[in-house]
Amino acid sequence: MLTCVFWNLNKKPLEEVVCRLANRHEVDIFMFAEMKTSPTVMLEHLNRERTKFFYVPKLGCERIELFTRFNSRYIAPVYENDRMTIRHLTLPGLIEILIGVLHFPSKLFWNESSQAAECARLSHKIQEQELKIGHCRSILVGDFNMNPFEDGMVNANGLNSVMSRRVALRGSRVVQEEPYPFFYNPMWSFFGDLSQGPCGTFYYERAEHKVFYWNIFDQVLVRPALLEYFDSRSLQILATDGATSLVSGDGTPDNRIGSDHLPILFQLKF
Amino acid sequence: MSVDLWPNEFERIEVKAPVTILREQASALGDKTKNIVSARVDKSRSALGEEPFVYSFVIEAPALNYEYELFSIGHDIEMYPVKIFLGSDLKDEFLHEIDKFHSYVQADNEEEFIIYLKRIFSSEKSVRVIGSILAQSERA
Repeated sequence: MLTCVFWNLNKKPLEEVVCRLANRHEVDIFMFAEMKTSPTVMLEHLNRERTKFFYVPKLGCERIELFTRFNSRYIAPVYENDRMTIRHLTLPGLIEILIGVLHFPSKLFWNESSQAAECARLSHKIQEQELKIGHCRSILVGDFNMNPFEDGMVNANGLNSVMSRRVALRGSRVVQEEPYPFFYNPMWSFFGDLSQGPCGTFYYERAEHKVFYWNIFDQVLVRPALLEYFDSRSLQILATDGATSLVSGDGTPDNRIGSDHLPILFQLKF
Repeated sequence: MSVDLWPNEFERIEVKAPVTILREQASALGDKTKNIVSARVDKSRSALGEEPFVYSFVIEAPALNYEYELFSIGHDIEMYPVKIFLGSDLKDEFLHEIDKFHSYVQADNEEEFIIYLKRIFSSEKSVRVIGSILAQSERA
């Protein structure tokens, strides 16, 4: 089993919270966006009681930080740009996996159309790497700065991610004679009050006509070829580190204690 | 009988295409690093903006089986002006020329394009990335 956590730290010093998450969930891979804490300081905290975490050195993508419970040689980068790192996970005895981690441009600077256009490029890059590596057992995780229903996430020539495992298992869909491979996006299930836990990962409220209040910008997408190993029931939006709540009294992310984003956790079972 | 409406001669454009300049520089990087780090130019399938011709400049480290997309360019059929789309790290180094809502700088002609390329290749980001790749390739 491999336990993974992604969190946009919002440039806050959250080492203590991260440590508690590591212990509580026995996390194997931490993936961070907007980490301003020095990697050394984070590593010192993670390894305070027992040395178990490794820092994964950066090459080109400096916006994503990774810490793993195994040597970084097992998670080598294969493709990067300034906002995404695609890594080839080659742990001994386990199937090989491609893990893409990204922090997509914010809506403060890019509108939905620009984000959708960039998703088309991103999707193409992922498919190139899958072709190069020779398999499609891929996961894409990160802060997409888009909700699961937005064009870039659902367009066939974008990330083509769907809410249904059954639909995703069809493998791909054809538009104008061109096949587009699916991603499964389990994050759809976390919208609204009927979900267990918070209604999203990011809360935004402003006096304008169109506001969702809760957004799910932090997402994990899974290719059909990896679905048999992806445990949907393990997927959580974390609202606590076990000792401290990451949300305030009204249930929204507590920026004073944690980040303005909530972390997401998922497991791969082999 | 059909009539040929075409002019007798077509004016040949004497400027060098941006993609040709990029390919020359990709080759030069390989020469400079003894092919430990090389580069290639990919034609992108989808548009960054409205430009029909879009190319990415990709740095490669064969020993690491690693690629890094440094920047992209986009232009119309007339080649110039050419837009140079910068990632956010590179963009930070050009901030006084572009506002935060745009992710590109524009070169109006070949001369300006070459000046921008020189600045991009000498930027802290480019030097840092290539330096890291060189160091790690030597250990691989």
